[in-house]
Amino acid sequence: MNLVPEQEVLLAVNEVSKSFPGILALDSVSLVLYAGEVHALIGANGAGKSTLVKIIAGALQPDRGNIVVGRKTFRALTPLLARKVGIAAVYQEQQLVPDLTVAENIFLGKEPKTALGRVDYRRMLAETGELIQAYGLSIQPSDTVGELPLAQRQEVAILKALKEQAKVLLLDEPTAALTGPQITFMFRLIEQLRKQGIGILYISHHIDEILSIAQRITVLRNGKNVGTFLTQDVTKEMLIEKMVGRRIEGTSSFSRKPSGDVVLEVQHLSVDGIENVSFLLREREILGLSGAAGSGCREILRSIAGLLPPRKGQIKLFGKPFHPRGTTDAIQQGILFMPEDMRKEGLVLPLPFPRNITLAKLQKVTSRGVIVPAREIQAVQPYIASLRIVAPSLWAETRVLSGGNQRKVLLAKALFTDARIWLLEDPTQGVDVETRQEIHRLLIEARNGGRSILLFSSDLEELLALSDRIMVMHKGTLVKEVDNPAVVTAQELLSMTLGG
Amino acid sequence: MGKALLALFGGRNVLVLVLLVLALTTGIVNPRFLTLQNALNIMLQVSVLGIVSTGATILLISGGLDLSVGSLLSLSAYIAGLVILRFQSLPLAILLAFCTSVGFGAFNGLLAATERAHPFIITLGMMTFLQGIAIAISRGSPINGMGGLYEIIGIRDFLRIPLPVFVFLAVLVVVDIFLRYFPLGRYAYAIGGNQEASRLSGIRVGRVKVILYALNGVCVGIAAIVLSAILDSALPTMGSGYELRAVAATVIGGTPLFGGRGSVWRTLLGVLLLGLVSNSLNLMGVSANLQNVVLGAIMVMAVMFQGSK
Repeated sequence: MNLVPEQEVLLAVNEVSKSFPGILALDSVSLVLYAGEVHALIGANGAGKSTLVKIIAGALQPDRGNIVVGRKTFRALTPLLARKVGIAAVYQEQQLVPDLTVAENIFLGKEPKTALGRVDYRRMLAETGELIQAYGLSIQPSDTVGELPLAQRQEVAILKALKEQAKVLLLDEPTAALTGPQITFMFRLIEQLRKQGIGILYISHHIDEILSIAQRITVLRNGKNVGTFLTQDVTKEMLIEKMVGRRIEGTSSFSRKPSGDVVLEVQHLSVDGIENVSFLLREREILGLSGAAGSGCREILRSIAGLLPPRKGQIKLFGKPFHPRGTTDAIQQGILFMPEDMRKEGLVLPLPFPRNITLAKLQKVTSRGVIVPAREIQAVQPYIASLRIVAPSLWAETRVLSGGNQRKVLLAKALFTDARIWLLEDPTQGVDVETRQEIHRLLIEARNGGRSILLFSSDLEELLALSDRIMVMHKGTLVKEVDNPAVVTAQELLSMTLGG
Repeated sequence: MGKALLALFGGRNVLVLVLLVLALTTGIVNPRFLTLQNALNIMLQVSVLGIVSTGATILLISGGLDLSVGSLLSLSAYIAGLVILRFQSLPLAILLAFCTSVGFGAFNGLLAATERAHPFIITLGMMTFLQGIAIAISRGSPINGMGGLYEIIGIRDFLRIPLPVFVFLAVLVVVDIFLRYFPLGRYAYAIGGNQEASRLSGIRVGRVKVILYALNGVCVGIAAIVLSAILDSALPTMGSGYELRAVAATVIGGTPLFGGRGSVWRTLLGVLLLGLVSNSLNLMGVSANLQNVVLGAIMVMAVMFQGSK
């Protein structure tokens, strides 16, 4: 049963490359999708999965290579073109209009008309009903999409794709928001679609899931296709090894035994997304947080930063209870949160970049409440020099800096703010190798200088190289603590992270 | 020097050029245009709009907007007029005018800080509400003869420059200093540029918004007193239209609608452009019926040529 169907090729991606400033996201990747197969696409964060999916869906245009759909070859697709040739990206939930009903969404733009030219609602509802029944779904044609739970919105998106005669379905983490029985149901639906001859490209972090549903598996690593395998030929361990690759020579671990005083104590903390988590953070310590999407790592950082009020449990700072009512409180206590999405939440892009460095602690450059520009420029200069921030001028808007330099601005801000506890989320996301090493060195220096760092990173090599201890989160609970990261391989950490 | 001037105006070369060409053309057609007296005239004519626009600039930089300023101007001026009529007390009149403008300004800020709706729609409602109050308490009738200090502001001049022009320039300078050198001014740029990042930097976004809207209210209060001094009367609808012209002048000057950038000097340019255009049209004898057509067209062109990113 699990044999590769020797059928028509629905989609062929040929030697597609795509680069963004500073990184080569896809390096000559090829991939073939047959009719009637579930083809899994796996890889660590930053491996290029989402870039590839976006290129297939037409949301991004490749620099090189081409895409063959059916018998037609395309240099690049647009979202409209992709839909026309039968490619449906179900992860793009925004394709649904929340205020319309299931039937209206499925027929959007192709509404049946009565003889008088009015929309034929009766037919629309009836046909939607048939479609729902054919796949054994439990939604009603007249349900308002916005009021449905995520799992069912996903079903609507799939139905809509089917109605539009999609031949290729792109599913990105379709089970991320689902619970046990819903997952089983989703798998049944996928299997049914596969038998109809639809090709499914299935992206997921959950290797167990993939092994049970996919016929073939393609592994991406650092933008390259490192192999496409038949599911029966591989094991979980083999796949993890392929995802991580061999350990790069020369990346040594900086970790050491922490011995400083406890600065932060989290006791039985529960917020939305995490359940009963306790841990300590010491002075001069980098505490790593590892976990897949939905593991609760991000929520931990956000609740300490004062962004998510705890439901239960408490946080103690320097031995005293700490109830931040907002980020203002956290910053006053020396806690600075640096979000992963720096353009959205971290930096004020239209401001000249030195002003981002000083923003969280303007008091340092004021005199009697008035900003002294000369003092401000003088105060930021050491940070610009020591972090080697490259910018056209001191007046340059933060927007024009490269991604790596923007990251450095964020770290300069942490240094300037005299934050004692840094909460970091993927601090090297999207930067080039050289900048990455600079940032690593800086974090080690900050630790040695007396800071405590809570580091969440989806880059396991980074976690292993920097952390003194690592906490592994899975589905909102703390499942493991690694006291000596130096002896752990990325492979082992990945399988812990995946809940193995 | 010229370079420094351009830098000061944020490289708005196109606009400066438009201003110069316009001035020269009008000057050739009608030599009276290029007299000092006419220049002062223009400044006097734009002073009220300038004061309102300066307040609008603060809000636009912070990503906010207050469309109720016209109505608020009318209401504040009318309340001051009532007090003068009843109690003959100028200080009390001015005090109550400011209480009104700052109070409702801060109230708008409070509503905007709830983030429940865009300030555009919130203050659009407030515009109608405040206009309604002004008309209700006035029953539609104006107050004439304000007397006292009003006469001084309205009529007196210093070095031949009318006092309202001084008031306008003073407001400009004070707000410029505020935006450049005060943490709150810096926060205005930060919030307009990225509200989430500002929050994560420990800025109390809601509180700052209330203060900025209140400052806008201060500008409206000043404008209310200056305008009723110039007219020597208070009308319940005297401010209507100022809200849109203020936004227009600010945006034409080059402060983008979506916040994070801008300066009051750019706004000065925008205000001058509007003033110059209507003055030129008057001097060139263009009929009043046609003036709006030209004015509107120039506004659209000015904004297009800015190419605001």
